[in-house]
Amino acid sequence: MTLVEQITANLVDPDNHGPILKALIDTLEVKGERGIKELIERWVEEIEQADPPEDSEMQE
Amino acid sequence: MYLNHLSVSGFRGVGYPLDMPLGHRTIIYGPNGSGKSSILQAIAWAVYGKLPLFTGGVFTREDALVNDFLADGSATVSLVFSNDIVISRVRDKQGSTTRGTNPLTVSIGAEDPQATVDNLIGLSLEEFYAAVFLHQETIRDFITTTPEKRSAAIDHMLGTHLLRTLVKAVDPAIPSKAIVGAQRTLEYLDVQLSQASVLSREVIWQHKQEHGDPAELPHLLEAIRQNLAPIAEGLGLSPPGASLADLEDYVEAVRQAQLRLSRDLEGRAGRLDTMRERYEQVSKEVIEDVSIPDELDQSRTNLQDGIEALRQDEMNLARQLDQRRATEQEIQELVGQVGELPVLQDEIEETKRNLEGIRADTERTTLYNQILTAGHEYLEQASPDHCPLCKQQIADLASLLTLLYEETPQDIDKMRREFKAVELSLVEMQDRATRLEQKKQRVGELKEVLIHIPEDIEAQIERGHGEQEQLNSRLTEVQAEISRIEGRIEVAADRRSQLEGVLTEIEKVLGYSPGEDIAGSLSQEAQALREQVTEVQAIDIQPIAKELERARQLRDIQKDEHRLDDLESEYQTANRQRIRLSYHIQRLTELRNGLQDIAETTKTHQAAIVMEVLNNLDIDEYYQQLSPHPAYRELQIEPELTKKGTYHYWIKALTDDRSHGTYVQTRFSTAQANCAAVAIFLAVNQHLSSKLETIILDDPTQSMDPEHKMRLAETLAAYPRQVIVATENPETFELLARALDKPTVHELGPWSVAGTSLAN
Repeated sequence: MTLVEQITANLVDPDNHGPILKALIDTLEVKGERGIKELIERWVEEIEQADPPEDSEMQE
Repeated sequence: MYLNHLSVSGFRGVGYPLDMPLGHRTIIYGPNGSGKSSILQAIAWAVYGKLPLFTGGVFTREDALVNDFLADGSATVSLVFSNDIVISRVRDKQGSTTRGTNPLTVSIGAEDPQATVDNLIGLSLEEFYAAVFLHQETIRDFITTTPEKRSAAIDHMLGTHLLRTLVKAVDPAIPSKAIVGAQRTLEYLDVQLSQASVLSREVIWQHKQEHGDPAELPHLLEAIRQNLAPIAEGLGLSPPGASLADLEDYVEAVRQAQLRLSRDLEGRAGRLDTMRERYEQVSKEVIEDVSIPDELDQSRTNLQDGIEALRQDEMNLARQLDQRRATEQEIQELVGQVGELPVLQDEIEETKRNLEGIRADTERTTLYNQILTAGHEYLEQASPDHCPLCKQQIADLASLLTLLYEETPQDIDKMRREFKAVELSLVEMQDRATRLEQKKQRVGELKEVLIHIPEDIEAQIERGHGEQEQLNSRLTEVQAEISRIEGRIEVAADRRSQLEGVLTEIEKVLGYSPGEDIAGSLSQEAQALREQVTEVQAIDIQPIAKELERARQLRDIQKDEHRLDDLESEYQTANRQRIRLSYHIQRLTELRNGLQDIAETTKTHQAAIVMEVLNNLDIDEYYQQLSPHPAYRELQIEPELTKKGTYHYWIKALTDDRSHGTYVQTRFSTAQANCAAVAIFLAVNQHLSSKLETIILDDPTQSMDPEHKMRLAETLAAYPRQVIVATENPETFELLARALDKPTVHELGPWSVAGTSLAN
């Protein structure tokens, strides 16, 4: 069992948080500590640029 | 898996190719600078393509990798593993300091040779350098560096460094901050939208029913302006403006002017009252003109003259008194001298008689001398033989002459000198008697003078003093009376001046001369001002203020209508933005929760791995073998969770009964600390999950004494994995050569331009 798999198995929400963990570890191995901060900031920017799906607008 | 063979050429200190078989126990021995470290680093470079710097980071540039003394060529390293896999890495020399490429080839063929080798070894470069390759710098990290660096090194050994970095780097605060920003914007939008819900057409209609139609606002404002105009004129203000804001300001200005004018008029009336009271008081205090009476002034003059005359008399009397005293004293002195005169006159008479005696004696003596002379002449001429009678007579005459001679003083000159002296003395006495006579006469004259000087001068002076005192006393009384009158004159002048001042002030305030009835004029003026105050205060702007309030209501209704129009047009946009922000917050929250979950789980996982690995390590066993501290004979790694959620590792030594403990880096000597570090390294390496079962030690016995070196050699001899050890120390070399089982020994020659060479 890889390290990612070991930690994922213990996450509260492995389905949703597992991919985040994998992306973080992949970035950490390639770009180090600073890469992780940049990745999280990029995720935040992407979320802030994103439009809600049509159905959520309908619900409102 | 072990390392069976190493070929190196052109790499760092190695120039011409070296072929080095690597046995289960390999010793590389040579002096400092002979290339031992280059050979060991070549192994790491072949596997990972880079070399770690002692200070962090990695060596990748050409000048740090390729031998400096080769004109051209390349750095080439080949490794043969015990499973016959061969890896080779090459760095062509291109005369640049760029990062360049270090192509890797693997004998088994692979699309990604580096990934194949990484998988083959199963360790990162950092883990390799922490748990496989023991260098002096690694030992130093254990002993002297910061807890952060030491813990990172141990994490590299334990394989948990990635988790340490992940825990440190995953920061849920980044999405949290974005969530807070989005929530603030959302709250603002909610306020905007809630206003739209409060403002409805129905509410506005109700307001219109209550206050009127906003269309009336211009007419209402004009009516207010018209009503304010006469008031403004009365208060001396300029005409009001036409807008609601102007009129609001104007009503306030009217209120202020009303207050100000009332206060001003009231103040002026008060001042007039005060002035009247002062006038009445000052005019009451004015007193008639006063002057000094002539008879009093004359009396003062007479007294002063009388006193002056008495002073003159006193001075004359004093002079007379002095004259009398001097005359009396002179008389007394002269009388004393004149008392000698009778005695002196008797002496003169006596002296005269004495002088007559001397004169008679002198004349008789002169006569005797003439007789003697004549007798002797006769005797000489007479002849005694002629006659006996004559002869007898002559003899008798001779006897008589002899007798006369005997009786006659012989020194007539002395008698004359005596006469002269007595005569001089007489003259002196007579002169003195004459002077005394004169003094006697002077006494008579002085007595005559005394007769004309009164005898009671002192009594007269005393009487004069008494009279002077009386006159002075009288003069003091007169002066006091005059001063009193002069004081009254001054007061009268001062009060007249005050009254004149008050009158001047009154005239100035009134602006005209008040005439005879000054107090009455002032009262009338004050009364007139108070009537004006009453008129000003009677101006009632309350109705206008009410109209203004109604105008404000109409204006607000008008604003609400416009605002409602705007909100209705913006509502759709704001609502869409609200939905979008809610969506962002939801996703950011998911991201934050995910990061928190990952950080917490990773932290827990790291703790579990660390504890599991530490529990399985045989640190203490190796520590015992490598000659432990005499007192602290047990060694352990103690993890401590920091506030940041990462672990700091403390290398702790304990006594056998565990009653005392200390930290190696604070209490141990360098050699003892080195032993502790080597013990940890060996224990960690033994449990390393890498397929490469090898340890590489670069000069591990620095600072060690022979006992420690021997124990290390014995420990390495028994170590279950492949051992490759380099040393420059002859004693270490001898101990290793003796202790290790059939070691493969590579002895290096001295450094040369051609690079490292093998001596054997």
